Amino acid sequence: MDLLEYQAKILFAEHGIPTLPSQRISSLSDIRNLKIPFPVMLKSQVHSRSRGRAGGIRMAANTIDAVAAAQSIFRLPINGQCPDTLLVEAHYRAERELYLAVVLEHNARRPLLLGAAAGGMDADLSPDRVVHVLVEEDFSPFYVRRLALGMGLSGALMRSVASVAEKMYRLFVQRDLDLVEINPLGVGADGTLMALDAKVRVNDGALARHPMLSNILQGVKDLGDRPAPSLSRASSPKMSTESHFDELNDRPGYWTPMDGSVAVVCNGMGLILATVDWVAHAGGKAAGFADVGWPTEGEGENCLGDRVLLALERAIATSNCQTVLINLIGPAINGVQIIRRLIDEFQTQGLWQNLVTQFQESASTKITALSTSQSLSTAAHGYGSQTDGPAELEVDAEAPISRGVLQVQERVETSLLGEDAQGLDAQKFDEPSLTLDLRNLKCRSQRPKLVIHCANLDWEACQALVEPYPIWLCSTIETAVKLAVDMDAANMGAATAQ
Amino acid sequence: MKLTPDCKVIIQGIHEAAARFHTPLMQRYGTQIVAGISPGEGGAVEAGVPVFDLVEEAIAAVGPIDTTVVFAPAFQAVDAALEAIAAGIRQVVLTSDGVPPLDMVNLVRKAEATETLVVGPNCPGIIVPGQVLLGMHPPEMYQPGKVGIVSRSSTLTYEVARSLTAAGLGQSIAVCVGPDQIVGSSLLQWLQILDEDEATEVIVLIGEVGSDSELMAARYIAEAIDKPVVVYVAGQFAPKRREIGHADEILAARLVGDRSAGQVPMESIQAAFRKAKARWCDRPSKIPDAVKRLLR
Repeated sequence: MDLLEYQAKILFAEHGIPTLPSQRISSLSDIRNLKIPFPVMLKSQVHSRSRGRAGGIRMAANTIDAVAAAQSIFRLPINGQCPDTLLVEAHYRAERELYLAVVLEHNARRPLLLGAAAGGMDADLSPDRVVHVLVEEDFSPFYVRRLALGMGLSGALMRSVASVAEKMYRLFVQRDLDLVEINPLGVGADGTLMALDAKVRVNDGALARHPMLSNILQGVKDLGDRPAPSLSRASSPKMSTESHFDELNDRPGYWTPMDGSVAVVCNGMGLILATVDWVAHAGGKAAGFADVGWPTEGEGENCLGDRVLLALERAIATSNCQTVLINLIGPAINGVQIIRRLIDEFQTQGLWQNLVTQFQESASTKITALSTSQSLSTAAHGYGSQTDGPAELEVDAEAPISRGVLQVQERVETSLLGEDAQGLDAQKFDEPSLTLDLRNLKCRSQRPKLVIHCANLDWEACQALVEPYPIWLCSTIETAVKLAVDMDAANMGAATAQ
Repeated sequence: MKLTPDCKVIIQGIHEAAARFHTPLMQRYGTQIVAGISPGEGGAVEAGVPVFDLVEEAIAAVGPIDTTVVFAPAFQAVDAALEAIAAGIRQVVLTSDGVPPLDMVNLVRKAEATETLVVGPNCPGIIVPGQVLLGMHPPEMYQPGKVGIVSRSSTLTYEVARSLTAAGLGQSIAVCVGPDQIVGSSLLQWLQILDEDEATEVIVLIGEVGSDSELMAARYIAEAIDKPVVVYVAGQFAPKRREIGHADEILAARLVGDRSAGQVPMESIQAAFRKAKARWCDRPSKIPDAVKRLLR
């Protein structure tokens, strides 16, 4: 997970890497309280490398300038992301800009120091311009001197650059980081150095032993009174900035959307990637995928069944899929148990009796809600044919509805954590009657079809089990993929015909 | 390297849930598990074998050990491996998931200095069908034969082994090195082992898009591997990674000479394998046929 610049600079300061005096602002009114003398730089705190080019970094000579600059930066999306926070820094005049990084080299399986004599936004960092020093054995400062000398530096500058690189290395190791990068490292007229930008990538796996990093990350978004996202490995909520599949390995049930219509649910990233390939070769397109991982201790006997279900809910709630391809293999996989869990859900009027609705709020807030309530589904279904005008949908407060209301509440809360939603108070769903503003309601009442390939199934027992339900069992992955893609094509065909 | 039925094995972290599940499966397969290690549980008996607090105590009681299979939790896994190496064990299978990469860097330095074979972390280990199971492979999907499998993905290894077995093609060794950034032994090391292994006639290599190791493996095959290789790299249709740092680009550029790539693109990987005259499969189900043709 990447840190924002200001978060990375907290770590830099802790390790004695020189940074400029700075202050964070989260609203225009904060500018009145700036303590840094003008001129200042205002920097958008988003995950992007090209903030400067995109207009996310501006200089301001006085308060009026600063307000105007902040206003435009707060509103400027970079990579589809508007900043919650700006970093205001003293202005620095660099005579020269260098590039430094510490990263793990996966083939040599050692930390690698990188340096270039010319850094900055437009620097040419092609292989022949970058010095590489592999830290083969236990670290000692000669490695960073080798780097600085390799960059063509000499004398005092060589020693001070080596010293910054050493601090970067120690930060990298002490905090289990995947990357520490400074681009540019400014060299002042007097030869002093300054980290003008900061990029730090934490290792998700090691986060649990670095509470300080977790604390820094908890500040990623100002969540107000809402619960902060938990950063534990198994239950990380979806964060809108993360769609990077490498980060998904360790998060069971995490759903990664794609643009097709067959949802893929597997255990293990390799099997997921292969199944997505299979679907493509069969003429289909994946709607996305989820890795349900392995059974883990302390999560209940049928945790894999629960995770498959969770993945299905997310798949249905966030994509257009009508067909779900479930492909599971492994020694500790109890296919019958998982299938029973899915069938339970049919029988208890869970997922499959649900109406899946997408509420498009006026303030461009997208909320996906799931409800078990038959009356909600019926009412909303009726409403679904109307497409314009605000309307209210009331759900009465009888017993079967409570679960539906709870689910709606959960979904709303989940959505709120993941997106910049405003104007929706989750509290109101505690009321016995549920009122939602249903503008631009879309609804689907069709159940998704499940195609399952699972190694080591008790074939006959399972066939009998699934017969009353829209579940198909296949003995090979090839037949499962073909069936899922064909069904999906038939669905899409039917939808187009309507 | 010793991967035979008379290989003496200990289980570190024998009280972990995964160990409780897999130790009896290994025993049933004929793996000679002679002791378990579980700090604080010395004196207990688990899966019919004595449990010790320290590896050296186990060795004092039961004699020399060839291999340890580590199930210790993520942050204790490398400590367990280092303890085993210090006690003279030279084959380590790390099944633990979530081992921090920098812990692995320390372990790799130690393993190289002591010529210890480390497999994993986050992997099901090694199976020599019909002989020995060191880890978590589901044995019923394998049968003895001539195909060596080396892979980065556990479940995909099982799927490929199962389809080979179904096609009547047994396996000589199957190893999954794990999908992590820093692994104890690389695809390259295992290509070399399989190339030298007398029982192996065809090598099947299974990779995943998004790392450098497949490209390195392809170049190594071109240089040093004499046996025929069948390859599948998963993820041709996977979403591309989002924008990443300069450092990632620099690393990728060192390999493919293209700084805009960010990650090594599938086309470069495929081209490198074609150049190495490996047989490229675009999905796993094509592997058995490709192997069959090469065995003839």
